[in-house]
Amino acid sequence: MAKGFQALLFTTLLLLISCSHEKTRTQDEARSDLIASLSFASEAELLIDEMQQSCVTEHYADGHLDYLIGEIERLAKQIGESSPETGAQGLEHLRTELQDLTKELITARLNVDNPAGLAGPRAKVDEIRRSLQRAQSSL
Amino acid sequence: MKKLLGIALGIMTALGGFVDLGQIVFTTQAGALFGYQLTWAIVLGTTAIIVYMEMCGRIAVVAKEPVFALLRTQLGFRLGLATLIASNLLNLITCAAELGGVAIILHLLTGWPEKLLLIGATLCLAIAVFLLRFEWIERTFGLTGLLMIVFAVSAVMLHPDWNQLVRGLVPTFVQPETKRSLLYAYFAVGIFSAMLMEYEVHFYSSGAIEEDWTSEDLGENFMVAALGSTLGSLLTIALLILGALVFLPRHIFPDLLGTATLAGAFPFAQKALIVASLGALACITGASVETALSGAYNVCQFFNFEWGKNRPAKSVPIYTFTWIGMFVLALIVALTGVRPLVLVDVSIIFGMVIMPFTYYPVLKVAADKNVMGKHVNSKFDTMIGVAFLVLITVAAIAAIPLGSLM
Repeated sequence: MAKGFQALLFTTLLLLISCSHEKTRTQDEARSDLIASLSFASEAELLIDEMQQSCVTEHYADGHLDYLIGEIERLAKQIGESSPETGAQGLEHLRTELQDLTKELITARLNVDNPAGLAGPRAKVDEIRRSLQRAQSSL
Repeated sequence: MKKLLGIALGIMTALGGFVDLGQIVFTTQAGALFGYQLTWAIVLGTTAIIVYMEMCGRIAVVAKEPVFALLRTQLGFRLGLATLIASNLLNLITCAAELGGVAIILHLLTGWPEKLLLIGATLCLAIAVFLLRFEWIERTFGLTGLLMIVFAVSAVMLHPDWNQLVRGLVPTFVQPETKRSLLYAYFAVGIFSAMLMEYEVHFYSSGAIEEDWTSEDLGENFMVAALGSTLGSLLTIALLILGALVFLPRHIFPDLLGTATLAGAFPFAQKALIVASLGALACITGASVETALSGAYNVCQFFNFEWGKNRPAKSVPIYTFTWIGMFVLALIVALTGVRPLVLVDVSIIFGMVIMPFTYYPVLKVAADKNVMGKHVNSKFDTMIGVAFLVLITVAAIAAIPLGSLM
């Protein structure tokens, strides 16, 4: 009985240890991450454009920016918790770009009712998108 | 004149109630990834739903049997019970996803806390379902769903390439990479599944009995099934076009409900976005009600309990308890914080897997002269029905490996 319990405990510990290890990010996954990041940046750009032209309501812009930030943070966290496989480098850079994108969207969120204040975040989001596009074409 | 008005109302209701969360998101995503290349999947799904919806309505009128009563007699108790459990699990997942979607849209419209809106909206829906008669439930959500037409107007205003759209009626099997081919197959199966979701036929056949259709209503049944679904599919094609025109050139994968809604008002200003959001809200709300009620219809029809929305709640206690239970369980699932779009993905694949078990008994009974008499399927009806059943079965088999790959 005691041996059985020990075996169970040992297996559980092994499982916990193996789970706590960083997940390896394959080259394919890294490519998907980059495509998803580019999609987020493009969507952020589109949304800010719509906000500047007053095509979206303040509640809509605020709520949608919040959802978008949540998605970007989720991806950045996933990348942060994994280590790249050989050939899947550049993930750290990607995470930094995502963090920068989050910062710009937070600034945009603070300027939901002030279209003039959106010019700065718009320009920076555009920069991030271009950088991600360059990274994608170099793959 | 009264008959014509009835048919028009039925068609409009069917059109407004055609689209749900799965279709809004899945079709927009398909357009964003493959442009017009999956138009054929929408047309195929529409033809299949017209064929089977008409059969369900005809069976309900002639044999006075809704889908789940047929399922028990045609599949036997054990397989029927397994299908009942799977179908209601699917209804639950779909209902949770739709309620989650309702809360998201209300949050985007009002800025109020999402969880509070989720609870409040579910409570309001349950009260509305409790108070309204069947036809008013159907009409209220169906007709307000017509606001979705703004998506079609937006799609036309963006000047789609009609030639490309027509070319999309032919499947493009050759994709540049294997992964893209699998993704293409996944979206083809997903669109097909989203258009044939089981709860739609369960609700439709139960509705025919709730509304006491007679053989004189068979013409209306055909018109509603054919025209309502065809117009609904045009709305679905509009979503594909919006994905192709708004998101594909910008490399955006619309993975949020708010993104898809944004496309619905893209060429217009704020007011159009509000209309688009309200249209999506009506469709998603209607789908949540249909899935909750379908859960109750399924249980009662399978076990032969008394049922009916038009009967006093006290005289159909199991039916009433079951649909309320569906709402409560779906609310609990949605409150866990699981993303509605994840639930949609699961429901579409799971729905496809169990689909043959829903449609096979319908085809079998509709083709049975002993049950249907002079209203039995023509040879052509049966041939088309068999062809779609084969397609549904192939898609069901393909859904599992495709779903696990994505």
